[in-house]
Amino acid sequence: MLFNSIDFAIFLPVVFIVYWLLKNYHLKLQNLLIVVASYLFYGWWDWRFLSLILFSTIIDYSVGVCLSKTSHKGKRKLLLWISVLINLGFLGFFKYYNFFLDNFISAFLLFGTKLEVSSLQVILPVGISFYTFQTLSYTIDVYRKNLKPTNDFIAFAAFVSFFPQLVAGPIERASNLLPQFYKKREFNYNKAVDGLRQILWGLFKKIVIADNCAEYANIIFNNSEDYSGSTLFLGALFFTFQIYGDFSGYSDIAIGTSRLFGFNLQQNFAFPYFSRDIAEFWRRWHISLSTWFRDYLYIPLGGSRGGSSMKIRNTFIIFIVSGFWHGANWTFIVWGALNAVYFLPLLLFNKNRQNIGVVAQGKYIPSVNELFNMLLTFFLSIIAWVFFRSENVSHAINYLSEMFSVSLFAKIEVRTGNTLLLIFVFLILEWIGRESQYAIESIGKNWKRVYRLVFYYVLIIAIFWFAGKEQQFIYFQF
Amino acid sequence: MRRFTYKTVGFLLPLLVVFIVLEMLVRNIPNDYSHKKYYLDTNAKNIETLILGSSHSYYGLNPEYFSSNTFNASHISQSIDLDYRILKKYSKDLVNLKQLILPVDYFTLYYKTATGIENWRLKNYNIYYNIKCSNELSENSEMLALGLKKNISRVKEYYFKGQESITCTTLGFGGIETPPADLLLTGKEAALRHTYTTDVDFNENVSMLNAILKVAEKMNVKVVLVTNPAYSSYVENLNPEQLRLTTKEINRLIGNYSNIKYFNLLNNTSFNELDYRDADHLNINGSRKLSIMLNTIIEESTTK
Repeated sequence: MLFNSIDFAIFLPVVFIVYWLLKNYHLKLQNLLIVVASYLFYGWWDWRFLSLILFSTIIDYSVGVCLSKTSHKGKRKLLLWISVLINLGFLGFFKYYNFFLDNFISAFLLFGTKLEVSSLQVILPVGISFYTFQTLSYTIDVYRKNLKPTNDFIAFAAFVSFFPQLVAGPIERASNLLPQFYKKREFNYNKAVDGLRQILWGLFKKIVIADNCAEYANIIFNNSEDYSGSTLFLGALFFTFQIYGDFSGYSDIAIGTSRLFGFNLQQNFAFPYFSRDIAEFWRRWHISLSTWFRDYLYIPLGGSRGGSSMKIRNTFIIFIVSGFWHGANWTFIVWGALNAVYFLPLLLFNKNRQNIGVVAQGKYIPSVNELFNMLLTFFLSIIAWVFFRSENVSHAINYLSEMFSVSLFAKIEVRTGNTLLLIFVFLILEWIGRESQYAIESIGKNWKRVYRLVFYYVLIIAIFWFAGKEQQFIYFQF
Repeated sequence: MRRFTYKTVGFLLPLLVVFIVLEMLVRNIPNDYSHKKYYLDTNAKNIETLILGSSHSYYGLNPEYFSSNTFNASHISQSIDLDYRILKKYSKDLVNLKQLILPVDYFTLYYKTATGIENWRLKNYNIYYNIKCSNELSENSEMLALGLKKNISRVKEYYFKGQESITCTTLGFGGIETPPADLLLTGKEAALRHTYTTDVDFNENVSMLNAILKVAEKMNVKVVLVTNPAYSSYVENLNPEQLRLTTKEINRLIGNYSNIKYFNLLNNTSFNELDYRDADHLNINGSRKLSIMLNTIIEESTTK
């Protein structure tokens, strides 16, 4: 079920009402409703893959229980490996099998051997990368004794399948989300209103910004050989806003929906395009994934301790794996590696934590220096997104070569209507709200009620204005 | 909770009222689907030749050039399952039907409206034809399928400027003349668009074609299968394997029925660049040629 679909518009209020009607009964019943609703939400897409989630849930719950019963180091390690291998095994099979197979075949071909192995016709289960990482974090935390294993299977199943963030995150840590299933949830008016506001902003980002930008980004990327550098730059710019509107929009809807049910999810995007360097960008972009890799991969590898070679190795590993997580294509690997190249100088010169706070905090406009740094970081991210969006690496290289040719100054060949104006308005709203969790959290709070309502109606009209046949969220494919 | 519910409902109610009013206004605008449905409802018993199919038939076959009483019930991006549903819906009313013209083009066995990018058109079959082909709300509402921007423009065009949304002739032919497109570019683009990397809909489409042929056989109706002519830039960019499998399947099906005639006009040399609006669609001139050609073939086969 898509968040921007009518099915979800019916599903959500029904589940919401039943959920709060159950609040005076047993907590388990409320959690059970979440499990049933979540399975329905996921099964709407393809019920066959529910078995994967259920299997993952049973395995990790059982591993958690077994870990609580043994202090033997070897056994604990074995249990951890069982969970890791099963979870990553599923992920590897569904997402990466054909990639590795194709690359093996190509590698053997280089040496003149033709392998007669046919690739598998498998569908990638929606959200597998997200819930796999979420359940893995539970097992690893229990193994590290950072988290007490749960004995409540329903709560655990609800944690794994919690529908607002099941298919595209944020990837919640068990230490944050799981305990919320143990506590009685009380309906909070302000929190629910805030949740609706965040859903509204998420829908605006997805339908008005991302889908509009997608239209032009698709045309330009799909016919890139026909366009001049200036048009290609515009295409890359549109994709830069498409991916942000799409993914952060989804996160806003997920977080807002969770708030309606009394849950708090972590912030996943903190206005990344206002970052002053790449290190700050990565602290603000897909925060739940970046921190997952930091805690479960980067730090165990040694992090930024040790010599320069160790730092370089670990930085490349984390960025390349992060790229590969996004998809079984060399384009994602190059995208990750390019970000590592951007990041390394900051790390090696100890400048990676120089921009921690919000840019131009308490001010209306940034300083010239801040503006320059923001534009530079934004420009670097645009180049990296070209790899992310392209069909293959050679497509990306050709795209960038043409983009940086003399035709960069040619007349733009695509008429984009009001999309650039929409992006401009969007950026202003994001800038005004950059000190909040999401842009419109604070906008209008001190306004008269009637102005505030008009503002929300304008956003809703804009959503319906541009809505059409609903578009898939990009991050579903990861 | 109660306060939240009241306030949310109070906030959304005006939007809902506007939504319903606009939905009603848009549905009231005459369009190709409502026109063809009305024609079939009122004239089905007089139709002797029925044309089904996608844009290739819509722009390519003009009933006026057929000597029998002909109606073109094709629509842009109409896949074979929808052809079947239209035929099935009117099979009892088409009492004088003698011929059914059905295109079997390069993409026919691979394409399905419901799974393609034009799936927003499904709402037209649900709303105007009363053919329930989808339960999704967005495919049962004009407002949800096309959005406010498009629908406001349609309301303005019809209620303020008096322009209907009907683009076909009374007999269902898409006779709007458009400036000729770049044949080389559109050929490459259309061939790419019509080439499928997956054959997930192939078997279902074959079953649908089979179902149409069975219905026709039961109605004692001759079926004329046509692979429409296309410009060389389109033909040259087709995937030979997809083309081979399509032709193979059509030939296999023909062997199972006695009431079928198949004409493969894909490479027909009677059509030149002056006959195309783009590389895979005929213009008015080309459609006249094709319609006369098919009519002659049908007449010859009838008199034999």
